[in-house]
Amino acid sequence: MARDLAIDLGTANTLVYMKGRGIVLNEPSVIALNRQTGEVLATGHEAWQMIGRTPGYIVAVRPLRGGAITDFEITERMIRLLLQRVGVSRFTRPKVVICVPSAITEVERRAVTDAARRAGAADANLIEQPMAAAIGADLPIDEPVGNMVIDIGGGTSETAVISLGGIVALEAVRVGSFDIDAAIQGYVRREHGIAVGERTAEEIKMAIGSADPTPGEQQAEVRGRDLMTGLPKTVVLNPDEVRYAIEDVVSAIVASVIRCLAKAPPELSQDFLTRGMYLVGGGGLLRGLAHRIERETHVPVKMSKVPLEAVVLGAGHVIEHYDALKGMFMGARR
Amino acid sequence: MNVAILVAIAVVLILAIVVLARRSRPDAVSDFHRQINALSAESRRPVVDQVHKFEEQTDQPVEPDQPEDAERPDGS
Ligand SMILES: Nc1ncnc2c1ncn2[C@@H]1O[C@H](COP(=O)(O)OP(=O)(O)O)[C@@H](O)[C@H]1O
Ligand SMILES: [Mg+2]
Repeated sequence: MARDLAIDLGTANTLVYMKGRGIVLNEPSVIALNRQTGEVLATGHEAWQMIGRTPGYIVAVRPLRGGAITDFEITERMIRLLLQRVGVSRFTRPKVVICVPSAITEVERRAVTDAARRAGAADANLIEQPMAAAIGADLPIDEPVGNMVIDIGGGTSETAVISLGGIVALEAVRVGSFDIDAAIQGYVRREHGIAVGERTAEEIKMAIGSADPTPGEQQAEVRGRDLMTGLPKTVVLNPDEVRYAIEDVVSAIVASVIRCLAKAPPELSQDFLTRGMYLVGGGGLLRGLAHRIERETHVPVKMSKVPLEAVVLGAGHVIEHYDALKGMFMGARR
Repeated sequence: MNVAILVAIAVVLILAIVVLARRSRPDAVSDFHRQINALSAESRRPVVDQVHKFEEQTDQPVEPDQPEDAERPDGS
C-alpha cells in the first residue's frame, strides 16, 4: 500500500514526509559514486562522511549544490534511490510532491518530475520552496496580508512575499551557506597558508562564523595542511576575520532580501513592519544574520522554530490536502 | 404513449448532460475557497503540532549532522 510523499529536495539536505506519518527521512543530499563504473556506492549520511576523504576511484558529490541540476543522470538516480528507500515501487505508486529551488529551469523541472514518475510515482508535482516554507513556518498565508519568508539553504537563498495562497513577489539567488564555507576555505588558504576541506570550513562557520558582531564571541583552532610544507598545521582564527572573510556572501544574501522587499506592492509592505519577516533554512542559523537583516532593512526578523524542517512540513501539509491544494503546484498557476 | 416515453428519456438525457457539464467545468470560486480553507490556521494545526513534537524531541541531543571531534582535521 502506498502512502503519498512530500520531498524537500534541498541543495544540502533531503527530507521526506509520508502522508499520515510525518517526517520519515532526513539526510544530506550527497551521493558517492564509483568514478570508473558510475555505480552508486552510498547516499545520505554515509556519502556525506566521505566528502573530501575519498580515494581516487570514488567521488562524493552534491548533485543539486548550486541550486541547479548540473547532472541530470545523477539527480535522477538520487531521486530513485530515495523513493526506493521509503518503500516506493512500481506496484505502490504513491502521489509525490517535491519542493525545488524556484530558480530551476523548465527542463530541470521536467527532469525531476520524470525521475519521480519513472521511480514509481503515480503523479509527481512541484511546489516552490518558499511557498512550502511559509506553510511550514505556520504563516497565515490564507489571509490577504503580506507574509514574507526568507529561506537560506546551502546553494540558494529565496525570499518570497505570499498572500492569499499565492506568491506575490519572489527573489531567488544561487548564493547560500555553501558559499560561506567556500569563502572561509579561500580566506584560510590566502591569509594563513593552510588548506582545509569543505567540511572543516563548515565547522568553522558553525563554531565561530557570524554576520554581525554578537556577544560572547570566541576564537577557534583550525587544523589543516600547510601549503608550503605539506604538513598538518594548526592556526587560530578569530571571529572578526571570519566575518570579514564571509562579508561578500552575507551582503549578497541581504541584498536579495532587499530586492524582494522592493518588489512587494505597497499595501503588503506595510504589513511587514508589524508582522516581520520569517527566516528559515539552515543558512538562516548563521549567528547574527537575523540581526544583520533587521539592521539593514528596518523590518523585524523572526526565526522559525523549525528552520531545517519548515519546507518539508509545508509540503507535507500540501500532500495531506492534495485535492484542495493542487492549484498551488508549479505550472498549475499563471 | 410512445412519444411521452421518448420525451421523458430526452428530458432525463438533457438533465444528465447539464449536470455533467456543470461538474466538469472548473468552478473557480469554489476551488479558490477550498484552497484558502486548506491553508487556514485551523487546517495548519497538524503541521504546528508536528513542530511542537520536534521541539520536544530536539530537547534530547539528536544531532545527526554533527561529526565526532576526532574527525576535525580534514586531510584533503
Ligand atoms: N548553526 C548553523 N550556522 C550556520 N549555518 C548552518 C547552521 N546549521 C546549518 N547550517 C548550514 O545550512 C545549510 C543547510 O541548510 P538547509 O536549509 O538544509 O539547505 P537546503 O535547503 O539547501 O538543503 C548548510 O550549508 C549548513 O552548513
Ligand atoms: Mg531548503
